[in-house]
Amino acid sequence: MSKAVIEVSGLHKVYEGAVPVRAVNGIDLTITEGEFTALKGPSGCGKTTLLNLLGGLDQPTSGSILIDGTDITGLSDNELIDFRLHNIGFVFQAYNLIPVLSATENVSFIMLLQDRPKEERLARAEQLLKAVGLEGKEDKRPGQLSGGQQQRVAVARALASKPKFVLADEPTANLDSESTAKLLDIMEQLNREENMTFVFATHDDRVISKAKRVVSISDGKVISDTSK
Amino acid sequence: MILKVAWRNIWRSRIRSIIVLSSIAIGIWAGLLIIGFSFGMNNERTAAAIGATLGHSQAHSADFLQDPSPSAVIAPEAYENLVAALEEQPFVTGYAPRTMLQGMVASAKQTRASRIIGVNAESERANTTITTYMQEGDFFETRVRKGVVISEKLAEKMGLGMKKKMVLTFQDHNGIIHKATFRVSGIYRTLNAAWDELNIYVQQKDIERIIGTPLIHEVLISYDKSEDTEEKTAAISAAVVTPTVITSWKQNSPELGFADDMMGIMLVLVLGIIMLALLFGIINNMLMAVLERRRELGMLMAVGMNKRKLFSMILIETLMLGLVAGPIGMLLGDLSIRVMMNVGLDLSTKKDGLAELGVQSTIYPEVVPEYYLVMAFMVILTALVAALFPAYKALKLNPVRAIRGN
Repeated sequence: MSKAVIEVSGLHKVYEGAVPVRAVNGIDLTITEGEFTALKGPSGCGKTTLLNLLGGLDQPTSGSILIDGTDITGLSDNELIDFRLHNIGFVFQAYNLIPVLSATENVSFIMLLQDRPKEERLARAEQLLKAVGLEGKEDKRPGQLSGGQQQRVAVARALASKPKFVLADEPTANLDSESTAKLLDIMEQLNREENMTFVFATHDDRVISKAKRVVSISDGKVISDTSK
Repeated sequence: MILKVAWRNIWRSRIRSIIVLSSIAIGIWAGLLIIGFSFGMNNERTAAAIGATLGHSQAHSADFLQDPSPSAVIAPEAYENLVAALEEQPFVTGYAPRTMLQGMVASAKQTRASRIIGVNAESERANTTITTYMQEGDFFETRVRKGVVISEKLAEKMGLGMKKKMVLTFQDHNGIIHKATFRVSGIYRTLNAAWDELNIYVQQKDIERIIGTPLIHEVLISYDKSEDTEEKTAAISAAVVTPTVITSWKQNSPELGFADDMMGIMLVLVLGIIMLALLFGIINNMLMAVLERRRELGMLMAVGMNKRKLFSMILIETLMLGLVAGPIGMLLGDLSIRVMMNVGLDLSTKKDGLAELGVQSTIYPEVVPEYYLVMAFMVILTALVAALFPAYKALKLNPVRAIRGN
């Protein structure tokens, strides 16, 4: 049996206000190593909030989140930053690459934050860019790459830190069909060949159709959880 | 790579960065010019005063410093001791004894109070630059009995000219009042209008003939160099016997000494004001840079850039602005000063006002290397301080909201 990478229990997130919003309302979820999971649901259903909680970017109102056995809800801000750096890869909807750095530099920057030696950084960046099909584009800056290519650099960057899993928030939202297909193929291949765990928040059917497990969320609750 | 990122980030908004870099460079350039001209003006004024009238130090009897009355003389044995002490000091290049009398000078047009300086013409010429300020006649080089050298300003006010007579009235050391007619044998104009208006020169031997005995109230002392004047003065002081007192030019001309002492403080204040203006420019620039890059900074925090590294990145970017603009400003300032050192700044339209301050109408700046270090330090300090608020704003970003662009 595969090892649990993420174990969520009794997770709540309430945004206080005139009318409190229960963005996450009692979720229990376990994601094991090597899964290719899509969190699906309409806008405002709480999937991005859940993803932010899993990534340690936001703190839950109650409940626990165990990442590889560590309860991240008890970590301080600085500990969370360090935890994210070494355990979680992120892919954002808007790519969020550093525009003044080349593809290689963008990928190796996160390894610099980990204080890894230059040779290792360059070698891994080159290997990852090759893996996402960007051989020959290593020296291009984000502005010189298409949206799909930029998102592939973002995937390479997410993997560069050797994370335990990758969280991707609507990774295909800004991509055309061809770029989406290519990106999904790459991520599927990384999942298959390197046993990398991916968790997507998406409402894109193209992503959902590729996912091996689909967790449907509505009003901050899991309403269905199906594996293919 | 942080350095590389910082460097490239500076050039993201090229025009904005060029504007802020230019403002820093211009601020530094202006600061260096102010320093150069201030030092040039002050040193020239001081050198002129020391050369023409003050000497590097002076000897008096202690009584004279309390009350400069005719009786407060340096006694003959004290003078001999002083001369022996001066000749022992390798840095003393010469000395000139003076008789100092307060008196009245009268022409057909006017009567005025004046300070009558009785000089040994040869010593005075050798140890001061007074001859270079002669406008008419000479400084007792032509043999003339009872000649007087007065300033151009006094001549004008009293309606006197060369070879004109003036009557000097003064009291001797015994309280006896003497009156004698002198003839103008020279007219001078130093850089110090206030000095010119008050002081007239006669020969000691003429005073001696009138009074009947030699009187020495003051001995002007010249050094080989103007550096370490206080230490040199102290060395002579230690070698002379009381009641002779040696005072440096700063003590003899407190206003010049004060200006010299205050100049450093004033210049640091001026530089501080320039840096304060630059500070707000840099803060504005960096704050805009941080706010424009909210999404990117949020991403960096999300993926694991800790607060220390984020702070360092903003700090390095800000420092780089100073490190790029600083040398440019200093180079421009240095070049400008070196050009102006030859050309000078012509302020002849303000000639009379400057003369009242003892300053020439053309000011030549000086290169003051130690202030380059002060300037470099201030630029770095300004950049560091300017980085604090933008860096604080960056640290306060919420990664989730920042990534969304909120």
